[in-house]
Amino acid sequence: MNSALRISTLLLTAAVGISAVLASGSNPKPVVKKTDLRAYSTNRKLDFVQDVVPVLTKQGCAGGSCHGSPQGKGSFSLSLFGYDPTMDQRALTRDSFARRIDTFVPDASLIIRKPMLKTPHLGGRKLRPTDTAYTVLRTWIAQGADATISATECTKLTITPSTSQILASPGKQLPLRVVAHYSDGTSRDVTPIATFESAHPAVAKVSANGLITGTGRGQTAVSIRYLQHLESVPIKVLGTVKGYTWKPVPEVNIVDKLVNQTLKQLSVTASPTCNDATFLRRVTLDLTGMLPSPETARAFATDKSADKRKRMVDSLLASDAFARFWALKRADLLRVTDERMPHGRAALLTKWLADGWKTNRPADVEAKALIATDGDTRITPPANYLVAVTTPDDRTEMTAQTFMGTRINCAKCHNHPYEKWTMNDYYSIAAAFARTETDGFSVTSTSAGETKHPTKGRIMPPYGAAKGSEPANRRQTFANWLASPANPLFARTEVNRIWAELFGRGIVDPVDDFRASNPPSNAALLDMLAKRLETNGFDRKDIIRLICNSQTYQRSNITDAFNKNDDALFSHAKPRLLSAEQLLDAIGVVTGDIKTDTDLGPVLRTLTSDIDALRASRASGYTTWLDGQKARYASAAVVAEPWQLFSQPATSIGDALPIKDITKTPDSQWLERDDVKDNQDIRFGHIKGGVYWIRRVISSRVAQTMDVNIFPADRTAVWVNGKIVPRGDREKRSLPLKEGVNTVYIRCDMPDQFQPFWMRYRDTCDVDMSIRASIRQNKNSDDALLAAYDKSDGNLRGLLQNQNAFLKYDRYATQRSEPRPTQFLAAFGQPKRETACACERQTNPTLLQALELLNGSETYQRLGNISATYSALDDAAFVERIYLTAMSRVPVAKERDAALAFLTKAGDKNKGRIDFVWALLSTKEFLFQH
Amino acid sequence: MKFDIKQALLQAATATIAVFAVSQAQARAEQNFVQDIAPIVVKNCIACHGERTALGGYRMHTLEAMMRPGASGRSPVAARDSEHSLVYSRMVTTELDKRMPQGGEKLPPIMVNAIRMWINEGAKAPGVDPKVPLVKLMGPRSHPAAPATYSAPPPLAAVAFSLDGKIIATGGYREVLLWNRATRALVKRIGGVPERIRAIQWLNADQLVIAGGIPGEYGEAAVINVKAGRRTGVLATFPDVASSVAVSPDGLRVAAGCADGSVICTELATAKQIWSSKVHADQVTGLAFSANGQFVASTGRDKVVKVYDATDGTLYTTYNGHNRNNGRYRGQAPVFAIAADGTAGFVTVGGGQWVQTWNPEKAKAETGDAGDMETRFFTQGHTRYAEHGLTGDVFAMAIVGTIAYVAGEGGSIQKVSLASDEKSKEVGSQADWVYGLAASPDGKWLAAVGFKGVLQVIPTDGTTTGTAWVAAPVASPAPKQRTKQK
Repeated sequence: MNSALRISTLLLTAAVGISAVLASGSNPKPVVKKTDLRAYSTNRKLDFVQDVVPVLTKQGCAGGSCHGSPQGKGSFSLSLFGYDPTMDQRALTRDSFARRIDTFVPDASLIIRKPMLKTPHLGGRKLRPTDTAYTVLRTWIAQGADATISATECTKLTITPSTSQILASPGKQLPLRVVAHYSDGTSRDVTPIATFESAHPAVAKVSANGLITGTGRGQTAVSIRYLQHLESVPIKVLGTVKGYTWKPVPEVNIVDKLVNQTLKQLSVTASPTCNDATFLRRVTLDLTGMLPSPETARAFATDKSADKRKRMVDSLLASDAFARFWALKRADLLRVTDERMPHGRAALLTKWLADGWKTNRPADVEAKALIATDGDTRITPPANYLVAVTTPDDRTEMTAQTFMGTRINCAKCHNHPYEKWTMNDYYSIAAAFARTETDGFSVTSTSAGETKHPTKGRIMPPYGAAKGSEPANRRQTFANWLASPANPLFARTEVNRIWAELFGRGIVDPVDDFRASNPPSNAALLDMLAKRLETNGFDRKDIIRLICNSQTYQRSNITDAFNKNDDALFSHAKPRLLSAEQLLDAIGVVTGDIKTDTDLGPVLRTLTSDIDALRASRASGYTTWLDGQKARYASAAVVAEPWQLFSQPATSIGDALPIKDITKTPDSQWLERDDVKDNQDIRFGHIKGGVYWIRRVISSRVAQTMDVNIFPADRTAVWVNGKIVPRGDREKRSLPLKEGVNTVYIRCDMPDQFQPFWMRYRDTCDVDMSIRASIRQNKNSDDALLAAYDKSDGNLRGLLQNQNAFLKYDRYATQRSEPRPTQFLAAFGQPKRETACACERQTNPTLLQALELLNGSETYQRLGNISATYSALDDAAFVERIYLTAMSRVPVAKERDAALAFLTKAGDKNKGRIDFVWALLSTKEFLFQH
Repeated sequence: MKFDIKQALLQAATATIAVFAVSQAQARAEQNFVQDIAPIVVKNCIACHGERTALGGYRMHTLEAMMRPGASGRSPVAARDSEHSLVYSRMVTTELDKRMPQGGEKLPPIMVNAIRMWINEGAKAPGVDPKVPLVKLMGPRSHPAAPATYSAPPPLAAVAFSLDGKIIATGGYREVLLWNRATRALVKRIGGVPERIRAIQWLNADQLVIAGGIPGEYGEAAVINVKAGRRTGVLATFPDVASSVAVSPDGLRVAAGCADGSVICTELATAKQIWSSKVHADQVTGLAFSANGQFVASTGRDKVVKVYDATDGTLYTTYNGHNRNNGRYRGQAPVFAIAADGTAGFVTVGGGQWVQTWNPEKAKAETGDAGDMETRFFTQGHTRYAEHGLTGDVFAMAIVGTIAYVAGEGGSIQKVSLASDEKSKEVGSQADWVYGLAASPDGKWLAAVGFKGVLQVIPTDGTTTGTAWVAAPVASPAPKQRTKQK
């Protein structure tokens, strides 16, 4: 293996650095106490659970892609990695009319013939006569295939050695010994039937008998599985590197000290500190998502003070831009979109998150608010989190992934294959959410509701509560545990996410996949940061400040032979493609398409005075307008009141209340949904699939037939004044309205939770829904009426929209409160916010991105602003200004000369300038944060 | 009745014009491939080079596949040139890691020579349909003798009363066992049958049809003559265990189902195949003719019941009553047992909580034209659901009039009324899973077998809980034998 590849695997991998072992620096001999051990032997009555079930895992039968998958394979279904011996007992001995075992001729048993390929087996050869597994299976069948599940359980696994191990060089070997301890007090060496796996075989491989052999320098972890016990032994493989010496770099704080410790041990050098321009661009993009302004770039370059970098970090952390940009990152994970929440709530929640960063809301306070809050989503924005995530399962998985960096979803159907999470944990967390009700608009805690273990059937106690006690509020109790030092994963996940935002890679990577078999690349560093967050009052800005001030963060991306292949130990800066939003904004600012704050002052002032003037000129017309609205309302032939939704959905038609009972339900059971406009979808998806009753009161001046379209026609039934309305052509229904007040009931059967419902009709009342309530109550002035009056004027409406957009920083993709996807943003990996996984944001370069830059309409359109934006500047000033804006530095002489020569030669001055900027936008220096 | 494979092959061959030119010499070559070559390939090669598992991209399950090169592109069989035929050269190569069968013992010289000679003679197989699986070409197998005594009772799935109700036939290991119901004595052992017997039906006082086989390898439906004490004919062969067998009401046809999802219908007198069908996605578990002989229906682990036109095997409809997502009787469960009901109807049971009685014509209307969703949601069709009170899968059912006896995982045997809402009632139980149930033709007796290998006989009038004994020639008396009449 060549050295480059070896170092790369070294650095790709990760290790838990236990300091005691690090200090010893030698290869410790495994200590095996032989006295209390029996060697593994099959010369005894074999036990189904202790001997046979582990073997099915070892040979791969019970793996997730084979018979351990939920549907099994070829009608043969085992429990994943043997988590359910009863299921395995059934599958092996009794299922399919006992076809898999032949006690007369053990070798003729299907479970032996198939994996030995004596009978066709799609899974291929999985068993050989020399395997211990073969002896175990054959002996067990010959002994009568007794699959009794004994009461004796494996209580503990002892691995020797158990702590982090160091192999001095590739080729060195280390035997592992696995001893299982059983509840009857016995123990047995189960090494031959335990399952071993190395996370990175290129660093160290492990044999079926647990012999580890170093294959290349680096860090890996060997996991050991026996029944439901999973242990992991971190392994470092060292080796001398010719010519390596540690070149000292400044150690500013504890971050540098811990990073450098690991670098020295693994013979990796640290890169020197980057220059001012690089730092400024890097830190500004990381903290605010935007490029530093040319003015800031110039000032920073000329500032001679020693603490200017520190002051820059402080000022950025205090900015609104920082708060909005970091709120976007969190909103990605919380799936903040208009599709999942009632209209307008997504922006509210994003703003609440931004307020949190602005005021430095402690991480634990924020997490508790999101999980435990009750209330109306309009008044209490964090309640939207539970509105967007509707089922207890989803809530369990989202919460674990977002706040514990754990992908717990495997444990929904079986104990987690790679971690210690069990189904009990999963359903206990789900139980914490069991007493929660959402109606799509608000979250309430109830006193009833339980979660059952799906296979064992027992009612699960809520997670985080003291054993045997029922907490006053399950969600609050769970949140209190979750966001506290009692939960070691909370602080770790939080600091790891911050680290990943600043370095492009987490200390644990992927950032939301914490597990024993995926150890951190620098455990001491992660421990220190987590401890600090727990002790500083969950002050996240403190962590960001600490990291940004470290030399590690400020390292150059220039590498030497001894660190060029590192991408996990943070020895040098790693150039990263700007994120979709960052890039769109950067192009907008460079081309002048986005007005910066500097440009904006005068524009905003003009807007405000225009609005005030227009309002003043219209003030006298208000009374006339209002009277007109009232008259229209009074004379309308048909007035439909807002939709009302029955608050108790049923799971199936059979469970739904019949129409005769529905018509008798009190008004308090109906929720008014004034935010749903006609011709707009109602998504019951905010709640869950099921059968819904909705109701609408329609006043009609005369008896008449009103034609409406109701979708989906075949899943709805309609009653007007208690009489069923037959279905017409396609979605059409003709509603027979009597003179006066009519009540329309609609029953919708929506098994799919995202199926939309809508009703389309021509409302003959042209009074806006937003003010009907005010008019009905005969009000003369309120916010709704004033806003509607403003909106009734086209000019004023436009001005107000512009003003609002400026104030909300709507023109910046990195700053606005909703994603507003475009083709360009999609190409550069803007997530759709469909999962809680950080991986949803794609960071791989694609051909589509090149096309968007070279030929995309969004890029081209922006370039059109160049001539107007920079018309006041001569060529020399133009070139310098573009370099300062795009790269945060002035051009060097060679660049300046080449640019000026190009612009002079260009026939069309504007075209020349556009081409020049376009070329610059395609350089790596612009596209990357470096 | 006698069935001759050679004769059958010749009959099949006469269907093609080429056969008119078949000479005596070619006829011998044909026998050579089917009798000498195919068995070697089936036993030693097709586990790795089969229809679904094709290591090296090479398959040998049919003659056509054997001739087609694998991933290497090199010729597997070059006529008259064994040295350049991979099939042969890889068997005799001295490079151990390449020698076939890979990772196994070298084949004995007699087999290697047979392959070499066949290739050098021109690799001929005249009259053989190159697309027919070799397993099929080889026809029925002969079976080793049953052991004199068993060390332990094997799991039992098949049980049937003789027409007079005095003899009970059960499956053994490579044999059918006949028991005297009253004395519990082992009356007769009939060997020469497959190792596993999954279903037994009495045709008349002297003849049985059985379904059975070797898991993953072979299956057959065969006729047994009780008096002669031997297999007298094979009605159909399969690539996996034959799991079920049913006789038409007129007694002229026999249908058999297989764990590979297929069903074959055969004329009893001639052993000629009438039709075959493979429409199940998983194992076929049970089979029945409707009382009017119009339909054959097969139950499957794939949660559906397939209904065929009994005359030609075309799929008439699929009954989805055991696989419903909506409504009161929802659930998805495999179906294990079936019996005829009324004139055209069936009774089925499997997973889930109900014995379902239904009619194929109405089932077709229900699934076929779903014009009005509204109606379909409110009506659950015509099916009658009788709750059986068992939990877990139900594998076995016996019908006496309007009473269904069912049993399965729990071991409890329940009496379920199909005609009234009467609550189901336990009439007996076994300590482990019950796989097979049978009622005597006069309806007075019930017999149950299952995982523990015990045969339990219960009178249906409820006067006693019956008797039970280990239904196998076990060397020493098993403790179960002490379970007696109360």
